[in-house]
Amino acid sequence: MEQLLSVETQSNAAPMELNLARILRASLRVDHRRLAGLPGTMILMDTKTRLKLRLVVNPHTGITVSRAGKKETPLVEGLFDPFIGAPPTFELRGAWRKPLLKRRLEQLFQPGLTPWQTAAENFYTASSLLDPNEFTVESYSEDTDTRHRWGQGSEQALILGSAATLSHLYNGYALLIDDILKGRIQCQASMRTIAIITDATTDHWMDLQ
Amino acid sequence: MTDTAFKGEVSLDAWLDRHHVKRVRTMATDLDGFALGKYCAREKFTKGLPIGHNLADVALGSDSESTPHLGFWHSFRRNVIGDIALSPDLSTLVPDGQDPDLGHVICDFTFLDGRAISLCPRTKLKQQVQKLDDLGLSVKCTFELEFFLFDNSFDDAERKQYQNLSPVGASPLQTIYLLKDSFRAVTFMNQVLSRLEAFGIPWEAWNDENGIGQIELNLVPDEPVVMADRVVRAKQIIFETAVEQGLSTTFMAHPQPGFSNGMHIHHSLLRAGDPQFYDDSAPQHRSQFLRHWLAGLVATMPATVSYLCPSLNSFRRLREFAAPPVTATWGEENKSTGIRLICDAPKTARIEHRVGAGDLNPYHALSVILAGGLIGLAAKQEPPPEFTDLAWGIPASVERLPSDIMTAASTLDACDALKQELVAEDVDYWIKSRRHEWMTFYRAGNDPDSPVPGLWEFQRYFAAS
Repeated sequence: MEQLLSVETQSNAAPMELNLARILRASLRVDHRRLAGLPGTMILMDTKTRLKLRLVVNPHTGITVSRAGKKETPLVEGLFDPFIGAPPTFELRGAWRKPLLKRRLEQLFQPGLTPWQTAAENFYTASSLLDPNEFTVESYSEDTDTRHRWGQGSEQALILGSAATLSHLYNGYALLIDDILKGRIQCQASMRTIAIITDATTDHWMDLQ
Repeated sequence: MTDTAFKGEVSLDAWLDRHHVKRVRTMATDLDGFALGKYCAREKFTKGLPIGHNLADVALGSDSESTPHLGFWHSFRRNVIGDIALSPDLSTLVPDGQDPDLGHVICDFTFLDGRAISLCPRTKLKQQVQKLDDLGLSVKCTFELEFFLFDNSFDDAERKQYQNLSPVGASPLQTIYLLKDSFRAVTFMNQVLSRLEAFGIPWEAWNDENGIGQIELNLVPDEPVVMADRVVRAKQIIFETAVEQGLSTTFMAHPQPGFSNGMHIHHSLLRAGDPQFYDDSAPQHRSQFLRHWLAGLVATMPATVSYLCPSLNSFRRLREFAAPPVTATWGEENKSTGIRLICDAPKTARIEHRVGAGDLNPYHALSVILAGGLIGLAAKQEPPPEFTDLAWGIPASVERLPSDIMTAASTLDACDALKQELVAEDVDYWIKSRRHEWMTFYRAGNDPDSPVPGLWEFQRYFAAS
């Protein structure tokens, strides 16, 4: 049953759609029964871009994500912007009347954040772009005084940030270069190393790893 | 370097003296096909030969707004931000013809020691031409340049946010070849043609095209690198002439609803000067060589769309019944298929590749077309059946060409043969540059379903394409 559930996007999907699809795939991997009791079609609207998405839900086959027309009424509103570097936040319209649906949606969209050190290990191990014999990447969370070290190569990178930021990065909610440019992460490395790690975070973010 | 005979003079210095050249403008195109370069003092220019002058390596590693590609890598780049060189191809040195002190030269991006950088679009084309040369083959080709001409200056167009511009033309009718419309553009085109002639760029004809204010310019065929150089120069000349006359032009693929700028590419192959496409004894005069070449072009066409339609705006053009092709098909004298074959006589037998958008990079476009043909030749492929119907509005079972920038990129990514032919690292870098373009579009909050180009597209592509 679990293997049969898929989350598909249309061929010209926007980053927001891909980001949402990845979150949904991760959610369904944890529990494939999360589609039970959901409406067959749900319209989502991003409050920043006003872009509307349609989720067609089939508890037996999975979810199809596509763009919805401007005039369609959203059931769920939220901040699905994939570039904010954090998991999306959302609200169910008229949630007080639909507490059960609210709970089901919360479960479905649950970001499922793995502790940052575990996520970092998974990320670096899965990436085809990063060779442990070429790179040594040390990540350090200043607020929790925890660190993670990966690889034993001569190309060094030191990545500093809060545990939450590192969690978002390594769980696939942010791109390294965005975090650096927005001051959420300090990174000491060559431009090449930053570019290659960023490339890997992009692959992760797009579910291409 | 400057002491050897040069273009009929005893030396380069003598040539520069004869043509009164005191300054030289270098020019190379980046991945997006935008012309980059510097104005150099003559002494600086000659002293730097043969390698040329330095410029930041991100010139070849930036997007169309000069934002460096920070999120992916190519081995030509330095570990930090360093320099590469613009190495002049002195065979392209010409006097300006209008500015009495200026000369122009086309360059390749190279390492500082002069080694070639294969990612450089012009170098890439030279590599493909060399492969053909190794097989004893040469190519004759030309481009059809389409662009829109407006009575508004570039500044005015920007102030108006590119809306409600006044196209040059006497009639609001969307009539092609209308001489009343052409006449309104004669002053502009005469200056363009004079400058083309001064640059040694022969032209065949120009006419009013289908869109209001749209002009098509046809250049005389020549070998691939020469032709791509001429296209880049012609586009720059058209831009500069518009600036001088207080007008504006754009090669943007789809600047207004209903009308698009394409850049069709005609080519034929020769061996020792003999045309290879036409065979008197073959059915319909189509040589076996042509069949293999054509098969390679058709098989790789979906993967080449990424290079032939490089921008997000390029894909607005690929619509059913909108004139550009939407399928990987071919047909004799069929202008609705991706490839139009003309096989009527030995000397005029040629292929017209109709997928390219007005904003394509001519070096890339020819590179991928020649690569596709080479793949077909090497594998002795046979083409699919000729498509003899109108290739629009046909059943969905006929596969469509990629219709958005990311699908085109992933289709290219899946084509191992093309990646091998064009150097996999370079193709990967290109694919990631398209992903960057796609993300930049969405970061700016653009509406992907808007039926018309938004301000972001105009600001990014209108003047620079």
